[in-house]
Amino acid sequence: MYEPSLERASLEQIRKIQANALRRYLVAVSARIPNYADKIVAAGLSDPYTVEDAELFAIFSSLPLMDGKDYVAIDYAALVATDRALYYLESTSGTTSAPKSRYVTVADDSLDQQLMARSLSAFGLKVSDRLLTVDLGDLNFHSLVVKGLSKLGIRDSIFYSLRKPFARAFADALSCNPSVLMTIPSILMRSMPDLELSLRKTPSLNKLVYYCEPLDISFERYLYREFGIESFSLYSSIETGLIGAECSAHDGLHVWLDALFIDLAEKVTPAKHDFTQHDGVTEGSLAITTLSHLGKPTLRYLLGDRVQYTQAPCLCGRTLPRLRFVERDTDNFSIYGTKFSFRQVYQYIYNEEDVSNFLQIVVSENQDSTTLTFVLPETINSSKNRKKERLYKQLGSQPGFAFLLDHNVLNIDLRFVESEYFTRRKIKRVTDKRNPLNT
Amino acid sequence: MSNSVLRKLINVVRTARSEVPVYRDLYERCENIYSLEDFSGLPIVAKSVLAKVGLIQSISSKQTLCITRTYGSEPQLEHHMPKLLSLEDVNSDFDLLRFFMDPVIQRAVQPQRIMIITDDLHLYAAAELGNQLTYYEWPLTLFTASNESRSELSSYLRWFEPTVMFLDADKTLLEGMGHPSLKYIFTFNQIGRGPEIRHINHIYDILRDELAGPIAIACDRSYQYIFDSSLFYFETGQDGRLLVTSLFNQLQPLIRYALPYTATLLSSSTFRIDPNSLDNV
Repeated sequence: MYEPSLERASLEQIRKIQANALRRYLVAVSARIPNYADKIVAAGLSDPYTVEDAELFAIFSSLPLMDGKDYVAIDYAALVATDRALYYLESTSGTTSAPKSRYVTVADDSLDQQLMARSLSAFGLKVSDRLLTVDLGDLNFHSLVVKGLSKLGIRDSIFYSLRKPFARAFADALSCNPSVLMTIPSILMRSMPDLELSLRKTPSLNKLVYYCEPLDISFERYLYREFGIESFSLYSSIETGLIGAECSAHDGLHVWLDALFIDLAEKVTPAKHDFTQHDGVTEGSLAITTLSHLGKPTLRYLLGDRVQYTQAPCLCGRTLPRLRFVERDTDNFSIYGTKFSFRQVYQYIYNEEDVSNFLQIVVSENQDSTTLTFVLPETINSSKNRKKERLYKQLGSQPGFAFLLDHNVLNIDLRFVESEYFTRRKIKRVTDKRNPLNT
Repeated sequence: MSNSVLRKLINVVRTARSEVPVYRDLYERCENIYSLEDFSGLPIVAKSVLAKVGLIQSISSKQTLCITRTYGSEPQLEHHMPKLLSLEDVNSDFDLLRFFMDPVIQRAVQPQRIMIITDDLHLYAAAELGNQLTYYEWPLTLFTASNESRSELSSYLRWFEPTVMFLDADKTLLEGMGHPSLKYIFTFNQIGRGPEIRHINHIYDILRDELAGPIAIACDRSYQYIFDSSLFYFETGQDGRLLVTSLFNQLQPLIRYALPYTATLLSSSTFRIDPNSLDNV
C-alpha cells in the first residue's frame, strides 16, 4: 500500500519496520541464492528471528560488501529462483562498466510503483499537474512514473523521445505546456542556450525532476532565477530500483528506509557539508540492501556513489533520513600518490561566473610523464587560452599539482569536442587509461 | 517451400533438442527430421505446457540472456511466461520491426511523428515497442489513456499532430477522435475489427502473442495476415489450429507453438484467420 504517514513516523518505528523487513528478507534470499545463504549463515544470522534489532543491524553490517562483479555472479541463481515469476528485466547500458541486469517480478514491480508514488509525492505534484518526460529512449522508466502518478490520481503525463537537433526537439516537446518536466540533466544543459526562449514561452513549467545524473548547482540556480523552475532529484539505480527523492525543503534526498537498508562503507565525518538540518553528518560509499526485491536481490551492494548522510528530521516533516550525492567513487584519481577529484577540477574550470558545462578527464601516461586531458565542449573553445591559463594557475596553487608541474612529470592538455559527445551515451567522468581495465 | 526454410527448421529443432530441456524431453522419442513431413510429426507445444515446466526448462543453456519483452497485459501468474531474447535475437527482432513498419517506410519522404496510445494494462508492452521505435530517430510520444483522460488525449493529438499512431489499448478510447495529420494506425490483435477513426485510410493490425511476440500484420480490417517467412514458419494442425515456429529465437525456441486461432494458409507468407475461431480467444 502507498502509505505516506509512514514517512513521518518516529525513526524508532521505522527502524522496527526495517528490522522485521530485514528478517523476512534474510530468510527469503537464503532460500533463493546459495551464495547469500553462505554469507548469512557464516555471520550467524541463519535464524534472524532470534536476534534483537540492534544486534541484527550490527551483525548484518558486518557481512561482506558486494560489487558489480558479485551482482553479475548471481545472475543464473537468481534466474532459477525467479523462473516464470519474472515479469521483465532491466539492464544497464554497459557503456560505463559491464552490463548488469535486474530481474523484476510482479511483486518487485508493485513495490517500485509504491516507491515511485512516494517520490512523486515528495516533489509536491498535484492532481492538476501535467508531467512531460523527455528522454533519449528509456520508456520503461516512464512507465514506472505513469504507474506512480496513477497512484496519486494524476492522469496527465506524456513521454517524448528526443532526437537531433536536441534544442529544437526539446522546444517541440515543451509546446505541450507541461507543469513538470522530467529529464536527464545533460540533455537539458546541452540544449541551452537555444532552449531559453522555449522555457520563457512555457510559463506553466514550474518543476524539474531530474534523474540518472547529478544537476550542477549553478545550473539549478540559473533555472530557478531565470525561469522560476524548482528542481528535484530522483535517485535510483538499475540494480536496486528507487532509492530516494528530494522534497520541497531541498535539504538532501529522503531515502526509503522501510524498503531499503542503507550502509556507508569507508565512513568518515566530512570536513564540509551542505545540510541545514542535521544531527551530525557522515560520508561514505553507499551500499544498498533492497529489503523486498526478490527477483535479483542485493546484499550490501556498493553502488559506486559517495554520499553524505544524516538522520535528522527534515523541515518538510518527513523523518526518513536524508542523503546528498557527493561524487562517483571512480571520480577520484591519483597521480604519483597525489589525490585529485573530478569535483575539484570541475570547479577550477567552471568558476561560479560561468554557466555550468561538460567535462571529462582522461588520465594517460607515457614513459616519462602523466598527461591530464580535459575534454571540453567546443562551445567554449574561444576561451581556450584563458581556460588553460586559469587551470595552470589554480592547479599550480595546489601543493600536489604544483610539485608535479614543476618537475615536468605532469602535462595538461585541453581537447574540444562537439557537445553531442557528452550526451550521445553515458560517459565516464574520469577515464584512467593507465589502468587497462578502465579503457 | 524453399530449402532454406527447411534448413532453418532442421537447425532450430537440432539446437532446441540439444540445449533446451523441455524440447529434449518432448522429442525424446522423435527421430531426426529431414523433411517438412518429419517436422509436422513433432509434438505441438501449448503455452500451458511451457508455463508448467517453467522458464529455466524452456530456455537454452548456451545463450546469454539479453532482454525480456513484455507482450501481454499485466501477467496472470498461472499462465504467465516472459519472452526472453539473446543479443542475436534482438537483431532479428529489429528486422521484424522493419517488416511491420514497411508500409510507413516505403512512403516516408520525411520523418514521421509517432504517437503510441496505451492503457494501464498494456503500458509495459507499449513501452517496449517505444524503445524499439526510437531506432528511427523520429519524434515519438507515448500517452497512457483512460476513459477519464479522453480530453487530455484529444489535446495531445492536436498538439503533437501524429502521422503514425500505435494503439495498444482498448480501441474505444479513440472513438470519435482522430486528426487530419494521421496517415497510419497500427492496432494489436483486433483481427478484422479495427477502430473506426476519422480521416484514416490505412489501419494495420499486428497479430501478437505473449510468448511469440508480434508475428504477422494485416491491412484494413482484413482477416488475411502477412508474415516474414525468413523469421517465422506457419502451419496448421489437424484441427485447423494455427501453429508458429520462430526461426530466430535462439534463447527461447518456439517450435510448433499453438496460437489460439484456426486459420487457412494461403501462401508461404500469408494466412487467413477463421473469424469464427475468435469467439474462443
